[in-house]
Amino acid sequence: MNSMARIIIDLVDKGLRAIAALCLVILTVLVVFQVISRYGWGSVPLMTEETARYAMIWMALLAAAVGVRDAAHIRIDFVPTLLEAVAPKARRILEVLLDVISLTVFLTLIWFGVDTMMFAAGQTSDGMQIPLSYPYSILPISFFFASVFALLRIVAGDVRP
Amino acid sequence: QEIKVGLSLPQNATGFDFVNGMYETFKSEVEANSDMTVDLVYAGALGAPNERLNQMRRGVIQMSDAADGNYATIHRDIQILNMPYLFPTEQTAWAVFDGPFGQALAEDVREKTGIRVLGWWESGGFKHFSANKAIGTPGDMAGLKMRVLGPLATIPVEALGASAAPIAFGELYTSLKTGVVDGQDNSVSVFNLVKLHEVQSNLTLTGHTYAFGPLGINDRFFGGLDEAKQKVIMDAADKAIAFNRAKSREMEAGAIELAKQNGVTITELDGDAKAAFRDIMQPAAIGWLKDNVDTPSLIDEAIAAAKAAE
Amino acid sequence: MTLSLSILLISFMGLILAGLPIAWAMMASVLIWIGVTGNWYFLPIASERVYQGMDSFVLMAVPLFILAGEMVNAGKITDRLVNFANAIFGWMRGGLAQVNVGASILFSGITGVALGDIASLGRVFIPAMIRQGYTPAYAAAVTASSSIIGPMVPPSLIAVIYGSMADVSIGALMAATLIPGLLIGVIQMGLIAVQARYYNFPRVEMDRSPRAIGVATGHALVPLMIPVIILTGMLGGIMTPTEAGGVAAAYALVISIVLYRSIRLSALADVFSRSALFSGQLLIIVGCGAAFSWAMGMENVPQLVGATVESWGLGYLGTMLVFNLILLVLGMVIDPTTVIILFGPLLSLAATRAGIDPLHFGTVAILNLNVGLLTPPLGVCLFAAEKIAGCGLWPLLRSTAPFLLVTLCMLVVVAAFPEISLWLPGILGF
Ligand code: NA
Ligand code: NA
Repeated sequence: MNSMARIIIDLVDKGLRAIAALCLVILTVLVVFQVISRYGWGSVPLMTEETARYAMIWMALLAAAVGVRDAAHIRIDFVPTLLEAVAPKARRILEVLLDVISLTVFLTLIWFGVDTMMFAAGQTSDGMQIPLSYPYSILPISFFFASVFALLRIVAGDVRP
Repeated sequence: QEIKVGLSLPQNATGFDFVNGMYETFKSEVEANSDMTVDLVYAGALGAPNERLNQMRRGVIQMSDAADGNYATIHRDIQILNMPYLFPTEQTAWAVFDGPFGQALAEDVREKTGIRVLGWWESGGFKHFSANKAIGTPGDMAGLKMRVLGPLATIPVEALGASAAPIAFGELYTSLKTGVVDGQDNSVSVFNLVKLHEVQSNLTLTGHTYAFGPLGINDRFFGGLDEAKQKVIMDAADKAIAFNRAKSREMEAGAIELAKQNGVTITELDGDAKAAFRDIMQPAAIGWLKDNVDTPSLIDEAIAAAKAAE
Repeated sequence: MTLSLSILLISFMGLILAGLPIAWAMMASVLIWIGVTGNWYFLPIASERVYQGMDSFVLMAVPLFILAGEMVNAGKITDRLVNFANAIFGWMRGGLAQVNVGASILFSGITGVALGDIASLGRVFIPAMIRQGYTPAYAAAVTASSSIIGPMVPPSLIAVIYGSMADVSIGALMAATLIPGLLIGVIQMGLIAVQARYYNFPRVEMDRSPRAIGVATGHALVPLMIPVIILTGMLGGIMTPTEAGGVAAAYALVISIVLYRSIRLSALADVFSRSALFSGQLLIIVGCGAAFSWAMGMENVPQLVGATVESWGLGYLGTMLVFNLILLVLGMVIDPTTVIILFGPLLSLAATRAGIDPLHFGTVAILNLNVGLLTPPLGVCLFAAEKIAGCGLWPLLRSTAPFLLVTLCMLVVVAAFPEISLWLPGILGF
């Protein structure tokens, strides 16, 4: 892969991490604010809980995409480890195969994530009264990046150290 | 054909025959009179009510026990019927739902959401306030922290001088026990379901909001059936709803008795006391509804229909 | 079992065994199931469930608890806790081994993840124990075995996840796991005491004057407030579990920045980023798990399992035994959190139908699954401790065996006597 593409990918990767972390900051602040406001002036603005929930979902899905690049997702690597010892080549083939299966899952989730988003456009959220398609938009966005990272692993063997 | 129904509660959930029993009645009627099968999936195994409602719209499942609040997320006008003190009695509510107003609303729901409303069932009857003190007048609500969900419940409660906190249903008991909140509003059946008698000393039969549910079925599925089968389904729905309403009345009376036996002080309100709550809660709700429903003119129509049905 | 259900389960098991991440394995098996049944119009639901499965207020406690734990680790307060543990447990024969267990009880109160315990405490204790003449395998065995106390002593992440998945009050669950957790600590310390006599383990040499102990306690007090805040906040009715997680994270942040000045701003960004990534890995399993359990619901599996358990007519102890065996086997191959996300609601429902208190069942399940962290083939805590000690897996297994045995005995006791788990929540009014 040429260096320009690598720089862009690394930038995207850093950006996604930063946004996920920012979502966690927002989530924490809102939850603490909820406690304070309940004791401070008795009532909690309706949108607090909802916004915090959306922040968590965005954080989780963006982090899940980044996790593809880091190969950090929880898995049982008993068989791959065993293969590494007896047939390292078979292990590499297995890993590529697993990445291809992951990629297929991600592409399906992009396609139907868009469908889900469109379907939710007619629904409004309880708190902020916004169309539910806004929060749902993270589904295709995240799995788009997950696909890019999976593809990089397949074609360029791109695994972060 | 198979009709898959997603339900919230486990099979044999005590005190909730008016929901599960309604669908069980529907199942036995349909299966006795046609070769269709009805598959009841209990205990929220297919997801939360809103999610099952979506699955039903998409035709992945054919029916679900999603109720008023869930339908409100896809059909905002339906919330008008949750207006505090719209109906003086359950019987008035049934008359409005079964009359021209209910029929027109059902048709509108079908057009806008793809769900055919076969009838309107009662979700345990009216909701009542509970707390650890007697609530006889609106003034008694001042300063209480109430667990209510959604703006249409929150705004009238705040108008009464209470504060509102949205607490997940799973944490309701603990939150009341530990005092995160002081009170809540639910039907008596729900009150008993999560043993609130252990954490609430007083239940006031304020009857401020009527809880109901549209008995919905995916319209495309229904439209694809021949006329004979459609009739079987409609007849089964009528029987199921008749069962539901009778059962719901019977169970609420039993539930109030049970709460009393468990040491809860029940306070009944007379007409004047209810009017005092209505005069504060209803205008607050109407103010919010006017800005948040698609057809504000329906607000006055609903009030008129309820008046006429009295 | 129908053919389509078999395909769903077999493809799932095949894919996770092959090493596909658990989240994607669940989603892939759902897609295969949809393809085989030909119900292509189910596809949008599969993606919808990923989002909806995570869309829960209670679940927000997960990232917040993780953040609090990460903050504590980054704040370098481990040393203070070790000194404190030394002061209270170091006088016993086999002192350092005892302190290792004691520190797990104290420290676990903060992170609530067994692996986190090994990563931070193991690095301190394993080299220190080896220097004092313990074999590397024994040092690793004590570290790994005591690390599973962490998830039992509140606050614990696994209790948060169990509570939100199986609809059990999280506060009550944390109260229920506390005494079983302490009992495991006690029985492990007892075992060490016996071994210490037999093998003549050394004591810890340190200043044990009241003043020195006072200083050690004082230093540990501020971080030890974190579990106190969480517990009193939740049990005292000040906050919901989610809010308690948020406040604990905020407290850890404030003490790290203000009091210890141990976290630089750049390190802080790193803490948030790491917590977000780790939370994402758990939450995506919750999301994809929602799609998977939906497919099982469409196949009416919960009904099937419940009816099957009922038809066995095992009674209380029989059901408990069968479920424990199932959990033990699952815990041996899958990590506890994932088992709970996948099977927690299902097993809890079936247990309730068999007349077992859901709180008691949750406690036993959490304890049971944590035991799996100490057994091959997937004892992640064993592997982590082995990596630090470099003692080889086989000697480590031999040294761990006695600890595993006493812990299993305790599991049987806790499972057989519901009073042990239900007493404290009862006192606290749950
Ligand atoms: Na803990
Ligand atoms: Na330890």
